[in-house]
Amino acid sequence: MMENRSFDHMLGALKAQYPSIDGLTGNETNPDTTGAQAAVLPQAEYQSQLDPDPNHHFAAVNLQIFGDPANGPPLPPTMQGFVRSYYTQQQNVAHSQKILYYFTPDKLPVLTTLATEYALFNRWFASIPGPTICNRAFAHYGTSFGQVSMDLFYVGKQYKSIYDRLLAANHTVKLFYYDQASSTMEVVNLLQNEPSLFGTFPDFLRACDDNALPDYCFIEPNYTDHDAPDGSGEAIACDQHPDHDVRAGEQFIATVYNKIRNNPKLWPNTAILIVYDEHGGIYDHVPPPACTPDGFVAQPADTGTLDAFHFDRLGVRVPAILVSPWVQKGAVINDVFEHASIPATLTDFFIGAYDARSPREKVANTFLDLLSLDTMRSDDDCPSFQLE
Amino acid sequence: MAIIRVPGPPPEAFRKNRPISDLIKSQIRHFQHLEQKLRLDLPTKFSPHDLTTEDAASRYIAEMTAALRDQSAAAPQTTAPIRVPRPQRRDNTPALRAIPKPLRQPQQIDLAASASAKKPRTKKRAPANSAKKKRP
Repeated sequence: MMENRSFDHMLGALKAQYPSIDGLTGNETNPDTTGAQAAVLPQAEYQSQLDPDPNHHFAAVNLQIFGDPANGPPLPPTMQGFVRSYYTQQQNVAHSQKILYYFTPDKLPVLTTLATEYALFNRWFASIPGPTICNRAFAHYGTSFGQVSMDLFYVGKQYKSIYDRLLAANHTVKLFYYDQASSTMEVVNLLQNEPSLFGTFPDFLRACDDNALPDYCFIEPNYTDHDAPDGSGEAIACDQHPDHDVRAGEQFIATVYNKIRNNPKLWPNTAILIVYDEHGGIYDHVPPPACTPDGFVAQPADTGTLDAFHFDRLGVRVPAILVSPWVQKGAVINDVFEHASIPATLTDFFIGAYDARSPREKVANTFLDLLSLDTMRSDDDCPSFQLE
Repeated sequence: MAIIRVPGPPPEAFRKNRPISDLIKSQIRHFQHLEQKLRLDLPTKFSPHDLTTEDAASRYIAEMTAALRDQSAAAPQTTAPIRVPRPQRRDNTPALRAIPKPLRQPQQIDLAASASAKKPRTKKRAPANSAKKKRP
Protein backbone atom coordinates (compact mmCIF):
# COMPACT_ATOMS: atom_id res chain seq x y z
CA MET A 1 0.00 0.00 0.00
CA MET A 2 1.53 3.24 -1.21
CA GLU A 3 0.94 6.78 0.03
CA ASN A 4 -1.02 9.84 -0.95
CA ARG A 5 -1.53 10.09 -4.71
CA SER A 6 -4.80 10.39 -6.59
CA PHE A 7 -5.88 8.34 -9.58
CA ASP A 8 -5.85 11.26 -12.02
CA HIS A 9 -2.46 12.48 -10.79
CA MET A 10 -0.79 9.14 -11.49
CA LEU A 11 -2.90 7.48 -14.18
CA GLY A 12 -5.28 10.12 -15.55
CA ALA A 13 -3.17 10.65 -18.68
CA LEU A 14 -3.83 7.08 -19.79
CA LYS A 15 -7.30 8.06 -20.97
CA ALA A 16 -5.86 9.62 -24.11
CA GLN A 17 -4.63 6.23 -25.29
CA TYR A 18 -7.16 4.02 -23.48
CA PRO A 19 -10.59 5.69 -23.49
CA SER A 20 -12.11 3.12 -21.13
CA ILE A 21 -9.82 4.39 -18.38
CA ASP A 22 -11.68 7.14 -16.54
CA GLY A 23 -8.86 9.63 -16.53
CA LEU A 24 -8.46 13.18 -17.70
CA THR A 25 -9.61 14.79 -20.94
CA GLY A 26 -7.31 17.76 -20.31
CA ASN A 27 -10.28 20.09 -20.03
CA GLU A 28 -10.83 19.68 -16.29
CA THR A 29 -10.46 22.84 -14.25
CA ASN A 30 -10.70 24.21 -10.73
CA PRO A 31 -11.17 27.85 -9.79
CA ASP A 32 -8.23 29.48 -8.06
CA THR A 33 -8.64 32.12 -5.38
CA THR A 34 -8.74 34.93 -7.95
CA GLY A 35 -11.76 33.32 -9.59
CA ALA A 36 -9.79 32.28 -12.68
CA GLN A 37 -10.10 28.71 -13.91
CA ALA A 38 -6.89 26.71 -13.57
CA ALA A 39 -6.61 23.68 -15.85
CA VAL A 40 -5.10 20.26 -15.30
CA LEU A 41 -1.65 20.10 -16.85
CA PRO A 42 0.74 17.20 -17.57
CA GLN A 43 3.52 18.83 -15.59
CA ALA A 44 3.79 16.73 -12.45
CA GLU A 45 7.35 16.35 -11.21
CA TYR A 46 8.92 13.58 -9.21
CA GLN A 47 9.82 15.80 -6.26
CA SER A 48 9.79 19.36 -4.91
CA GLN A 49 6.49 20.32 -6.49
CA LEU A 50 4.00 19.37 -3.77
CA ASP A 51 5.85 20.92 -0.88
CA PRO A 52 4.33 21.55 1.61
CA ASP A 53 2.42 18.31 1.79
CA PRO A 54 -1.14 19.08 0.62
CA ASN A 55 -3.66 19.08 3.44
CA HIS A 56 -5.89 16.02 3.39
CA HIS A 57 -7.53 16.06 6.76
CA PHE A 58 -11.29 15.70 6.81
CA ALA A 59 -12.22 19.38 6.59
CA ALA A 60 -9.68 20.05 3.84
CA VAL A 61 -11.08 17.15 1.83
CA ASN A 62 -14.55 18.61 2.36
CA LEU A 63 -13.29 21.79 0.72
CA GLN A 64 -11.73 19.81 -2.11
CA ILE A 65 -14.88 17.77 -2.81
CA PHE A 66 -17.71 20.14 -1.89
CA GLY A 67 -16.05 23.54 -2.08
CA ASP A 68 -16.69 24.22 1.60
CA PRO A 69 -14.48 23.12 4.51
CA ALA A 70 -17.34 23.24 6.99
CA ASN A 71 -20.13 21.57 5.07
CA GLY A 72 -20.56 18.41 3.06
CA PRO A 73 -23.76 16.86 1.71
CA PRO A 74 -26.29 17.95 0.60
CA LEU A 75 -23.80 20.20 -1.20
CA PRO A 76 -22.96 18.60 -4.53
CA PRO A 77 -19.53 16.92 -4.80
CA THR A 78 -18.20 19.08 -7.61
CA MET A 79 -14.47 18.36 -7.04
CA GLN A 80 -13.88 22.07 -7.54
CA GLY A 81 -12.08 22.97 -4.31
CA PHE A 82 -8.61 21.44 -4.71
CA VAL A 83 -6.79 24.60 -5.78
CA ARG A 84 -8.47 26.70 -3.12
CA SER A 85 -7.60 24.09 -0.52
CA TYR A 86 -3.93 24.03 -1.49
CA TYR A 87 -3.84 27.82 -1.59
CA THR A 88 -4.54 27.95 2.15
CA GLN A 89 -1.12 26.49 2.88
CA GLN A 90 1.11 29.03 1.12
CA GLN A 91 -1.27 31.77 -0.08
CA ASN A 92 0.47 31.49 -3.44
CA VAL A 93 -1.88 31.34 -6.40
CA ALA A 94 0.62 29.91 -8.88
CA HIS A 95 1.77 27.25 -6.44
CA SER A 96 -1.79 26.28 -5.56
CA GLN A 97 -2.50 25.37 -9.19
CA LYS A 98 0.13 22.62 -9.09
CA ILE A 99 -2.33 20.46 -7.21
CA LEU A 100 -3.93 19.86 -10.64
CA TYR A 101 -0.73 18.61 -12.29
CA TYR A 102 -0.55 15.02 -13.47
CA PHE A 103 2.11 12.64 -14.72
CA THR A 104 2.52 11.62 -18.32
CA PRO A 105 2.76 7.84 -18.72
CA ASP A 106 6.39 7.91 -19.78
CA LYS A 107 7.34 9.30 -16.37
CA LEU A 108 5.74 6.37 -14.52
CA PRO A 109 6.75 3.33 -16.57
CA VAL A 110 6.02 0.84 -13.80
CA LEU A 111 2.60 1.99 -12.67
CA THR A 112 1.28 2.72 -16.17
CA THR A 113 2.63 -0.54 -17.60
CA LEU A 114 1.04 -2.59 -14.86
CA ALA A 115 -2.20 -0.60 -15.19
CA THR A 116 -2.50 -1.37 -18.89
CA GLU A 117 -1.09 -4.91 -18.85
CA TYR A 118 -3.19 -6.22 -15.97
CA ALA A 119 -6.42 -5.06 -14.29
CA LEU A 120 -6.97 -1.40 -13.44
CA PHE A 121 -9.74 -0.33 -11.07
CA ASN A 122 -11.54 2.74 -12.41
CA ARG A 123 -13.46 3.15 -9.16
CA TRP A 124 -11.25 2.29 -6.21
CA PHE A 125 -11.81 4.98 -3.59
CA ALA A 126 -10.15 5.71 -0.29
CA SER A 127 -12.40 4.46 2.49
CA ILE A 128 -12.69 7.83 4.22
CA PRO A 129 -12.38 11.41 2.90
CA GLY A 130 -9.50 11.94 5.29
CA PRO A 131 -5.87 11.12 6.08
CA THR A 132 -3.65 8.06 6.18
CA ILE A 133 -4.19 6.31 9.48
CA CYS A 134 -7.96 5.92 9.34
CA ASN A 135 -7.77 4.82 5.71
CA ARG A 136 -5.10 2.23 6.34
CA ALA A 137 -7.25 0.88 9.16
CA PHE A 138 -9.83 -0.18 6.61
CA ALA A 139 -7.22 -2.31 4.86
CA HIS A 140 -6.33 -4.05 8.11
CA TYR A 141 -9.69 -4.22 9.91
CA GLY A 142 -12.38 -3.35 7.37
CA THR A 143 -13.22 -0.29 9.47
CA SER A 144 -11.54 2.60 11.27
CA PHE A 145 -13.70 2.12 14.38
CA GLY A 146 -15.19 5.58 14.01
CA GLN A 147 -11.91 7.45 13.45
CA VAL A 148 -11.56 10.04 10.70
CA SER A 149 -8.16 11.34 11.71
CA MET A 150 -4.64 10.29 12.55
CA ASP A 151 -5.56 9.36 16.12
CA LEU A 152 -4.56 6.01 17.47
CA PHE A 153 -7.06 3.44 18.57
CA TYR A 154 -5.72 0.49 20.46
CA VAL A 155 -8.59 -0.77 22.56
CA GLY A 156 -12.19 -1.73 22.32
CA LYS A 157 -11.97 -3.25 18.90
CA GLN A 158 -15.00 -5.39 18.16
CA TYR A 159 -13.63 -6.59 14.84
CA LYS A 160 -10.47 -8.62 14.46
CA SER A 161 -7.75 -7.64 12.06
CA ILE A 162 -7.49 -9.67 8.89
CA TYR A 163 -4.25 -11.07 10.28
CA ASP A 164 -5.86 -12.43 13.43
CA ARG A 165 -8.68 -13.90 11.39
CA LEU A 166 -6.35 -15.68 9.02
CA LEU A 167 -4.10 -16.97 11.79
CA ALA A 168 -7.09 -18.33 13.65
CA ALA A 169 -8.04 -20.17 10.49
CA ASN A 170 -4.55 -21.69 10.29
CA HIS A 171 -3.27 -19.51 7.49
CA THR A 172 0.06 -17.77 7.34
CA VAL A 173 0.30 -13.97 7.24
CA LYS A 174 3.02 -11.34 7.45
CA LEU A 175 3.28 -7.57 7.42
CA PHE A 176 6.57 -6.57 5.88
CA TYR A 177 7.72 -3.10 6.86
CA TYR A 178 10.71 -1.75 5.00
CA ASP A 179 13.16 -1.78 7.90
CA GLN A 180 13.17 -1.04 11.61
CA ALA A 181 13.74 2.66 11.03
CA SER A 182 10.68 2.92 8.81
CA SER A 183 8.64 0.37 10.74
CA THR A 184 4.92 -0.01 10.46
CA MET A 185 2.18 2.57 10.04
CA GLU A 186 -1.19 2.46 11.81
CA VAL A 187 -0.81 -1.04 13.23
CA VAL A 188 1.73 -0.24 15.92
CA ASN A 189 -0.67 -1.98 18.29
CA LEU A 190 -0.17 -5.19 16.35
CA LEU A 191 3.57 -4.68 16.51
CA GLN A 192 3.31 -4.44 20.27
CA ASN A 193 1.11 -7.45 20.76
CA GLU A 194 1.99 -9.72 17.88
CA PRO A 195 5.52 -8.90 16.68
CA SER A 196 5.82 -12.27 15.01
CA LEU A 197 3.41 -10.95 12.39
CA PHE A 198 6.10 -8.60 11.14
CA GLY A 199 9.13 -8.84 8.92
CA THR A 200 11.31 -6.50 6.91
CA PHE A 201 11.46 -5.95 3.19
CA PRO A 202 14.65 -8.04 2.94
CA ASP A 203 12.72 -10.79 4.75
CA PHE A 204 10.08 -10.53 2.04
CA LEU A 205 12.69 -10.83 -0.69
CA ARG A 206 14.21 -13.86 1.03
CA ALA A 207 10.79 -15.45 1.40
CA CYS A 208 10.32 -15.07 -2.33
CA ASP A 209 13.69 -16.67 -3.02
CA ASP A 210 12.84 -19.53 -0.67
CA ASN A 211 9.35 -20.00 -2.15
CA ALA A 212 8.10 -19.41 1.35
CA LEU A 213 5.68 -16.53 1.02
CA PRO A 214 2.91 -16.53 3.60
CA ASP A 215 -0.63 -16.95 2.35
CA TYR A 216 -1.14 -13.20 2.70
CA CYS A 217 1.51 -10.47 2.79
CA PHE A 218 0.96 -6.77 3.41
CA ILE A 219 3.98 -4.81 2.21
CA GLU A 220 4.76 -1.33 3.52
CA PRO A 221 7.10 1.06 1.71
CA ASN A 222 9.87 3.04 3.34
CA TYR A 223 8.28 6.13 4.89
CA THR A 224 11.42 8.22 5.51
CA ASP A 225 14.83 9.06 4.11
CA HIS A 226 17.29 7.62 6.60
CA ASP A 227 20.57 5.81 6.99
CA ALA A 228 19.90 2.10 6.90
CA PRO A 229 20.05 0.62 10.41
CA ASP A 230 22.27 -2.20 9.16
CA GLY A 231 24.85 0.27 7.89
CA SER A 232 24.25 -0.63 4.27
CA GLY A 233 23.89 2.99 3.16
CA GLU A 234 21.11 5.40 2.41
CA ALA A 235 17.53 4.14 2.50
CA ILE A 236 15.44 6.53 0.45
CA ALA A 237 11.71 6.84 1.11
CA CYS A 238 9.77 4.89 -1.49
CA ASP A 239 6.20 5.52 -0.31
CA GLN A 240 5.61 8.31 -2.88
CA HIS A 241 4.21 10.52 -0.14
CA PRO A 242 4.87 14.14 -1.13
CA ASP A 243 7.64 15.33 -1.14
CA HIS A 244 9.40 11.98 -1.54
CA ASP A 245 10.77 11.15 -4.98
CA VAL A 246 8.17 9.23 -6.95
CA ARG A 247 10.86 7.29 -8.84
CA ALA A 248 11.89 5.49 -5.66
CA GLY A 249 8.34 4.20 -5.34
CA GLU A 250 8.35 3.09 -8.95
CA GLN A 251 11.46 1.06 -8.29
CA PHE A 252 9.96 -0.35 -5.10
CA ILE A 253 6.85 -1.56 -6.91
CA ALA A 254 9.00 -2.97 -9.72
CA THR A 255 11.16 -4.84 -7.21
CA VAL A 256 8.14 -6.53 -5.63
CA TYR A 257 6.68 -7.33 -9.03
CA ASN A 258 9.93 -8.67 -10.50
CA LYS A 259 10.60 -10.84 -7.49
CA ILE A 260 7.32 -12.66 -7.97
CA ARG A 261 7.10 -12.40 -11.74
CA ASN A 262 10.52 -14.00 -12.21
CA ASN A 263 9.93 -16.88 -9.83
CA PRO A 264 8.12 -19.65 -11.71
CA LYS A 265 6.93 -21.22 -8.47
CA LEU A 266 5.36 -18.01 -7.18
CA TRP A 267 4.09 -16.29 -10.31
CA PRO A 268 1.27 -18.74 -11.14
CA ASN A 269 0.02 -18.73 -7.55
CA THR A 270 0.29 -15.13 -6.46
CA ALA A 271 -1.86 -12.07 -7.00
CA ILE A 272 -0.45 -8.62 -6.29
CA LEU A 273 -2.67 -5.67 -5.41
CA ILE A 274 -1.03 -2.25 -5.70
CA VAL A 275 -3.13 0.41 -4.03
CA TYR A 276 -2.69 3.88 -2.52
CA ASP A 277 -4.10 4.70 0.90
CA GLU A 278 -5.64 8.05 -0.03
CA HIS A 279 -5.34 10.90 -2.49
CA GLY A 280 -3.15 13.14 -0.37
CA GLY A 281 -5.09 16.29 -1.25
CA ILE A 282 -4.24 15.93 -4.95
CA TYR A 283 -6.87 16.49 -7.63
CA ASP A 284 -9.17 13.81 -8.98
CA HIS A 285 -12.22 14.50 -11.10
CA VAL A 286 -14.55 11.66 -9.98
CA PRO A 287 -16.93 12.52 -7.11
CA PRO A 288 -16.73 9.88 -4.37
CA PRO A 289 -19.96 7.88 -4.10
CA ALA A 290 -22.18 7.16 -1.13
CA CYS A 291 -21.67 3.86 0.64
CA THR A 292 -23.15 1.68 3.34
CA PRO A 293 -22.81 3.39 6.75
CA ASP A 294 -20.21 1.75 8.94
CA GLY A 295 -22.20 1.84 12.16
CA PHE A 296 -20.00 4.55 13.69
CA VAL A 297 -20.44 8.31 13.94
CA ALA A 298 -17.60 10.84 14.03
CA GLN A 299 -18.71 14.02 15.75
CA PRO A 300 -18.06 17.54 14.40
CA ALA A 301 -15.26 17.98 16.92
CA ASP A 302 -13.50 15.10 15.20
CA THR A 303 -14.29 15.97 11.61
CA GLY A 304 -13.48 19.66 12.02
CA THR A 305 -16.67 20.51 10.14
CA LEU A 306 -20.19 21.46 11.14
CA ASP A 307 -21.46 17.97 10.47
CA ALA A 308 -21.15 14.59 12.10
CA PHE A 309 -19.91 11.91 9.72
CA HIS A 310 -21.69 8.58 9.47
CA PHE A 311 -19.10 6.83 7.32
CA ASP A 312 -21.66 6.78 4.56
CA ARG A 313 -19.55 8.12 1.70
CA LEU A 314 -16.11 7.23 0.40
CA GLY A 315 -12.93 9.24 0.04
CA VAL A 316 -11.26 10.43 -3.15
CA ARG A 317 -10.32 7.93 -5.86
CA VAL A 318 -6.86 6.34 -5.76
CA PRO A 319 -4.81 4.15 -8.11
CA ALA A 320 -5.38 0.43 -7.69
CA ILE A 321 -4.08 -2.36 -9.92
CA LEU A 322 -4.45 -6.13 -9.68
CA VAL A 323 -1.52 -8.07 -11.13
CA SER A 324 -1.55 -11.76 -11.99
CA PRO A 325 -0.90 -13.90 -15.07
CA TRP A 326 -4.53 -14.99 -14.74
CA VAL A 327 -5.83 -11.45 -15.24
CA GLN A 328 -7.12 -10.35 -18.62
CA LYS A 329 -4.64 -8.01 -20.25
CA GLY A 330 -5.90 -4.44 -20.13
CA ALA A 331 -8.98 -5.14 -18.02
CA VAL A 332 -10.60 -1.99 -16.63
CA ILE A 333 -12.93 -2.56 -13.69
CA ASN A 334 -15.82 -0.15 -13.25
CA ASP A 335 -17.36 -1.48 -10.03
CA VAL A 336 -16.77 0.48 -6.84
CA PHE A 337 -14.05 -0.76 -4.50
CA GLU A 338 -12.53 0.63 -1.31
CA HIS A 339 -9.95 -0.57 1.18
CA ALA A 340 -12.50 -2.72 3.02
CA SER A 341 -12.46 -4.78 -0.17
CA ILE A 342 -9.05 -6.10 0.92
CA PRO A 343 -10.10 -7.93 4.12
CA ALA A 344 -13.40 -8.77 2.43
CA THR A 345 -11.60 -10.52 -0.42
CA LEU A 346 -9.15 -12.31 1.85
CA THR A 347 -11.83 -13.47 4.25
CA ASP A 348 -14.03 -14.74 1.46
CA PHE A 349 -11.17 -16.55 -0.22
CA PHE A 350 -9.33 -18.04 2.74
CA ILE A 351 -12.04 -18.42 5.36
CA GLY A 352 -15.49 -18.27 3.82
CA ALA A 353 -18.50 -17.41 5.91
CA TYR A 354 -17.47 -14.97 8.63
CA ASP A 355 -19.97 -12.67 10.21
CA ALA A 356 -17.95 -10.70 12.74
CA ARG A 357 -16.92 -7.88 10.45
CA SER A 358 -17.93 -4.32 9.82
CA PRO A 359 -21.01 -3.35 7.80
CA ARG A 360 -18.73 -1.75 5.24
CA GLU A 361 -16.64 -4.86 4.82
CA LYS A 362 -19.70 -7.06 4.56
CA VAL A 363 -20.88 -5.26 1.44
CA ALA A 364 -17.50 -4.42 -0.06
CA ASN A 365 -16.83 -5.80 -3.52
CA THR A 366 -14.23 -8.55 -3.74
CA PHE A 367 -11.78 -8.92 -6.57
CA LEU A 368 -10.19 -12.33 -6.90
CA ASP A 369 -12.71 -13.34 -9.52
CA LEU A 370 -10.81 -11.06 -11.84
CA LEU A 371 -8.35 -13.93 -12.10
CA SER A 372 -10.55 -15.14 -14.89
CA LEU A 373 -8.45 -16.54 -17.70
CA ASP A 374 -8.71 -20.20 -18.63
CA THR A 375 -5.02 -20.31 -19.46
CA MET A 376 -2.22 -18.54 -17.72
CA ARG A 377 -0.62 -15.78 -19.76
CA SER A 378 2.76 -16.67 -21.20
CA ASP A 379 6.03 -15.14 -20.08
CA ASP A 380 6.20 -13.22 -23.33
CA ASP A 381 2.86 -11.63 -22.51
CA CYS A 382 3.92 -10.36 -19.09
CA PRO A 383 6.29 -7.40 -18.76
CA SER A 384 9.47 -7.28 -16.73
CA PHE A 385 11.30 -4.30 -15.35
CA GLN A 386 14.96 -3.47 -15.18
CA LEU A 387 15.97 -1.04 -12.46
CA GLU A 388 18.53 1.59 -13.51
CA MET B 1 7.76 -8.53 -24.30
CA ALA B 2 10.51 -5.97 -23.97
CA ILE B 3 12.08 -5.31 -20.62
CA ILE B 4 11.04 -1.89 -19.37
CA ARG B 5 13.73 0.28 -17.85
CA VAL B 6 12.91 2.01 -14.58
CA PRO B 7 14.90 5.12 -13.72
CA GLY B 8 15.83 5.67 -10.10
CA PRO B 9 15.95 8.88 -8.12
CA PRO B 10 19.11 10.99 -8.31
CA PRO B 11 21.38 11.12 -5.23
CA GLU B 12 20.12 14.58 -4.31
CA ALA B 13 16.60 13.20 -3.88
CA PHE B 14 17.75 11.72 -0.56
CA ARG B 15 17.06 14.37 2.08
CA LYS B 16 17.21 12.86 5.51
CA ASN B 17 17.04 16.27 7.13
CA ARG B 18 13.65 16.95 5.57
CA PRO B 19 11.14 18.05 8.24
CA ILE B 20 8.77 15.25 9.11
CA SER B 21 5.27 15.19 7.66
CA ASP B 22 2.05 14.88 9.62
CA LEU B 23 2.17 11.20 8.80
CA ILE B 24 5.49 10.65 10.53
CA LYS B 25 4.40 12.87 13.42
CA SER B 26 1.46 10.57 13.86
CA GLN B 27 3.66 7.49 13.69
CA ILE B 28 5.92 8.99 16.37
CA ARG B 29 2.90 9.72 18.57
CA HIS B 30 1.86 6.11 18.35
CA PHE B 31 5.30 4.95 19.40
CA GLN B 32 5.54 7.55 22.18
CA HIS B 33 2.22 6.36 23.51
CA LEU B 34 3.62 2.85 23.77
CA GLU B 35 6.95 4.01 25.14
CA GLN B 36 5.17 5.66 28.06
CA LYS B 37 2.59 2.97 28.55
CA LEU B 38 5.16 0.18 28.60
CA ARG B 39 7.84 2.27 30.34
CA LEU B 40 10.41 1.24 27.81
CA ASP B 41 14.03 2.13 28.43
CA LEU B 42 15.56 2.94 25.07
CA PRO B 43 19.33 2.95 24.55
CA THR B 44 19.13 6.57 23.39
CA LYS B 45 17.36 9.30 25.33
CA PHE B 46 15.34 11.07 22.68
CA SER B 47 13.85 14.45 23.37
CA PRO B 48 10.47 14.81 21.68
CA HIS B 49 11.54 18.27 20.59
CA ASP B 50 14.43 16.84 18.63
CA LEU B 51 12.29 14.52 16.51
CA THR B 52 11.80 17.05 13.76
CA THR B 53 13.63 15.52 10.81
CA GLU B 54 13.18 12.21 9.02
CA ASP B 55 16.64 11.18 10.14
CA ALA B 56 15.92 11.80 13.82
CA ALA B 57 12.46 10.28 13.58
CA SER B 58 13.78 7.14 11.94
CA ARG B 59 16.41 6.63 14.66
CA TYR B 60 13.73 6.86 17.34
CA ILE B 61 11.37 4.60 15.42
CA ALA B 62 14.14 2.03 14.90
CA GLU B 63 14.86 1.86 18.62
CA MET B 64 11.17 1.65 19.47
CA THR B 65 10.57 -1.08 16.93
CA ALA B 66 13.47 -3.07 18.31
CA ALA B 67 12.29 -2.53 21.87
CA LEU B 68 8.76 -3.66 21.12
CA ARG B 69 9.96 -6.77 19.38
CA ASP B 70 12.49 -7.57 22.10
CA GLN B 71 10.00 -6.97 24.87
CA SER B 72 7.45 -9.22 23.31
CA ALA B 73 10.03 -11.92 22.71
CA ALA B 74 11.07 -11.76 26.37
CA ALA B 75 7.58 -11.64 27.82
CA PRO B 76 6.27 -14.86 29.37
CA GLN B 77 3.23 -16.36 27.75
CA THR B 78 0.60 -15.84 30.40
CA THR B 79 -2.43 -16.28 28.26
CA ALA B 80 -3.49 -18.94 25.90
CA PRO B 81 -3.30 -18.11 22.22
CA ILE B 82 -6.46 -16.73 20.73
CA ARG B 83 -8.59 -19.48 19.38
CA VAL B 84 -11.84 -19.07 17.58
CA PRO B 85 -13.99 -21.73 15.98
CA ARG B 86 -12.72 -22.32 12.52
CA PRO B 87 -15.33 -21.02 10.10
CA GLN B 88 -16.61 -23.36 7.50
CA ARG B 89 -14.63 -22.96 4.31
CA ARG B 90 -16.36 -21.92 1.16
CA ASP B 91 -17.48 -24.92 -0.80
CA ASN B 92 -15.29 -24.84 -3.85
CA THR B 93 -16.89 -27.62 -5.80
CA PRO B 94 -17.32 -26.92 -9.50
CA ALA B 95 -21.09 -26.77 -9.16
CA LEU B 96 -21.00 -24.05 -6.54
CA ARG B 97 -18.19 -22.20 -8.25
CA ALA B 98 -20.48 -21.85 -11.24
CA ILE B 99 -23.12 -19.98 -9.25
CA PRO B 100 -22.58 -16.24 -9.71
CA LYS B 101 -22.20 -14.29 -6.52
CA PRO B 102 -25.03 -11.79 -6.82
CA LEU B 103 -23.77 -8.42 -5.66
CA ARG B 104 -20.15 -8.23 -4.66
CA GLN B 105 -18.23 -9.49 -7.68
CA PRO B 106 -16.98 -7.11 -10.35
CA GLN B 107 -19.46 -6.87 -13.19
CA GLN B 108 -18.46 -3.76 -15.07
CA ILE B 109 -15.30 -4.59 -16.94
CA ASP B 110 -13.93 -2.85 -19.98
CA LEU B 111 -10.75 -3.52 -21.86
CA ALA B 112 -8.15 -0.84 -22.17
CA ALA B 113 -5.64 -2.63 -24.32
CA SER B 114 -7.38 -4.25 -27.22
CA ALA B 115 -10.84 -4.49 -28.69
CA SER B 116 -10.06 -8.00 -29.87
CA ALA B 117 -9.47 -9.40 -26.42
CA LYS B 118 -12.43 -11.26 -25.01
CA LYS B 119 -14.14 -10.21 -21.80
CA PRO B 120 -13.24 -12.15 -18.71
CA ARG B 121 -15.74 -14.64 -17.43
CA THR B 122 -17.16 -13.77 -14.07
CA LYS B 123 -16.62 -16.82 -11.91
CA LYS B 124 -13.58 -18.75 -13.09
CA ARG B 125 -11.18 -18.89 -10.19
CA ALA B 126 -7.51 -19.20 -10.91
CA PRO B 127 -5.49 -21.84 -9.10
CA ALA B 128 -4.13 -19.22 -6.77
CA ASN B 129 -4.42 -21.25 -3.62
CA SER B 130 -1.58 -23.71 -3.85
CA ALA B 131 0.19 -21.98 -0.99
CA LYS B 132 -2.79 -22.31 1.30
CA LYS B 133 -1.59 -25.49 2.94
CA LYS B 134 1.53 -24.01 4.42
CA ARG B 135 1.67 -23.59 8.15
CA PRO B 136 3.44 -20.96 10.19
